[in-house]
Amino acid sequence: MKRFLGIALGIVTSIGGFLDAGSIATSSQAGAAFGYSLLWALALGTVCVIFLVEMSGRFAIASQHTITDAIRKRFGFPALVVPFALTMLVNLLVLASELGGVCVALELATGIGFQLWAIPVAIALWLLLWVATFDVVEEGTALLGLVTLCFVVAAWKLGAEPAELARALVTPSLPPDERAHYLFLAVSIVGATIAPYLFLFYSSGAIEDDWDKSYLTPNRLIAAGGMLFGALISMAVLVVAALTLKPEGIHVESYEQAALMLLPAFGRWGFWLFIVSLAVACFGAALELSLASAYAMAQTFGWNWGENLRPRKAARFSMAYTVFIALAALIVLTGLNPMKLTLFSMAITAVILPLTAMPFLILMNDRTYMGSHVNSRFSNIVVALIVLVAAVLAIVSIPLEIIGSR
Amino acid sequence: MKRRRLIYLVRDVLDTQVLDRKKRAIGKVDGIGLELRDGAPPRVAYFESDAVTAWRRFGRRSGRWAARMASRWRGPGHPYRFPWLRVRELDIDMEIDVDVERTPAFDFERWLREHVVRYLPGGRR
Repeated sequence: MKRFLGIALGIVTSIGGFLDAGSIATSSQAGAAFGYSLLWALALGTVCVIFLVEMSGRFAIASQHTITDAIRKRFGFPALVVPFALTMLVNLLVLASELGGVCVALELATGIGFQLWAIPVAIALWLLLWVATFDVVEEGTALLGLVTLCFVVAAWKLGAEPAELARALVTPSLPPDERAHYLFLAVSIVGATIAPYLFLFYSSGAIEDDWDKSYLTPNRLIAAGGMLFGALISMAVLVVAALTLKPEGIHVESYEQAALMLLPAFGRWGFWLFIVSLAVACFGAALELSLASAYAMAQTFGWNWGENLRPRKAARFSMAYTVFIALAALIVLTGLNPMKLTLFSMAITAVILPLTAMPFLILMNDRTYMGSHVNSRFSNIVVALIVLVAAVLAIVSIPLEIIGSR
Repeated sequence: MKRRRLIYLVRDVLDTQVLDRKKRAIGKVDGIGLELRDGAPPRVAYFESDAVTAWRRFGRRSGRWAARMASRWRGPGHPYRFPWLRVRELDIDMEIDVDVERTPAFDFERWLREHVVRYLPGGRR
C-alpha cells in the first residue's frame, strides 16, 4: 500500500516538472495558430521523455550516482565544461521564463506590471528552497499542480473530438503556409517536453530519496504514468487553444491573450483558473529548475549537495541556486516579453539536448555503472533518433523564426 | 585483498568523486602526481583535488584565470594533495581517511558559510 502511494505520488509529482511556462506557452500558441495539427510534436516529445526519465531513474538505482557526476568521471572534467556551461545558460533562460510566467500571472491578477513582481517572486522562491526539504518542494508543487487539470476539464466540456485528436497525435503534417513558424513551434514543443533539467532533476531526486533496486518497477511506472499525465495536460492546453482561440483568429503573442482560452468553458472563473494554473505551474517548475541547476553545478565540481542538508552544511550548493535565482530575476527585470523568451528558450533547449542526452545514452550502456541494467537497443535508438532530429530541426528553424518575426 | 584488480589511473581515478570518512564530498580527483626515481620505476606520489588543477586541464587560459581567482581568497595548503595511504576505498567513488572540515579543499565552503550563509535567515542552524 505504501509502495502504491509512492507510485501515485511520483506520478502526480511529475506534473510539477512537466507542465511549466514552456508547455503552456508552446501549446497555447500552437493550438491557436495551427489547431490540432502540432499534436504529433507533443506525442514525439512525450515518447522520448518517458524513455529518458525512466533511464535516469534506472541509472540512479543501478549505479547510485547521478548523471552529471557519472558524465564527469566517464568523459573527464574538460569534456564536461562546455556542455555544462551551455546547459546552465539555457537553464538560466528557462528559469527566467518560469519566473516571468509567475510574474505575468500576478500582473493579470493585480494589474501591477510584471517586472515589479520579479524580485518578490524570486525572494519567495529562494526562501522556500532555503528552508524546505526535498519532499516538501516535490510534494507541494505536485499537489498545487493538480489545479492545471482544469485544462483537461475544459477540453472535455468544449467537446473535443477524440477521433480527430488521435489522428493528429500520430500523423505529422506540414501546413501549406507559415511553414517556418510551424517548424519552430514544433521544435519548441519538443524542447518544452524534453527539458534536460527534468531528467537531471529526476536522477538527483532518486538519490535524495534513497531509491534501491526495489524501485526498478515503480520507477518505470512513475516515468510512464507521470509523463503521460503531464502530456495529457499539455495536450489539453493545445486542444482548448485550438477550440477557443483559433476560431476567433487570436494569435497568441503574450500570456494576456492565452488567458482568454478558458473563458468559453468556465466563464469569468476561467480567467482566474488560467492565472492560478500559470502561476502554480511556473512556480513549481522554477523550484525544480533552480534545484536541478544547483545539483548539476555541485555534481560537476564534486561539491557536497542536497536539498535535505541545511544551507550551512552545503554552502556552495545553496549559494549556487541563490545566485542562479538572482540572475534569472535580473533577466525578468529587463522587461523582455516573457512568452517570447519562453518560446526561444524552449527552441534552444532542443538544440543543446544532444549534448546531455548523448553522453547519457553512452553511460546507459556502460556495464561498470549499470551492471545488468543496461539499455535495450530499442530504447537507445528511440532516444537518439528523436533527440538528433529535434536538434537538427531546431538549428534550421531558429534562424528562420528570427528572420520571419521581424 | 581477495583478488588482484587492475586499475587505470586516467579511466578509473581521474575525475572520480572524493569522499571523506563520513562520506561527505570533498571534491574530485583533478590531478595525479607521479614521482620519477633514479634506478626505480615511477610511482604515484599523490592525488590532487584542486579547482586550479582542473581548469588547467581544460585550457591554458582558463587555468591562468582560475589561478588568479584562487590567489585572492584561498589560504595556505593548496593545492590539496593526499597520498595512496589515505585511500580507504576505490570503487565508483574514492573514499579517503580524512575529515573534510579540516582539509583546505573546504576553504571555499567554509568561507561562504562564515561570510555569506551565516548572515542570511536560517543560515546559522
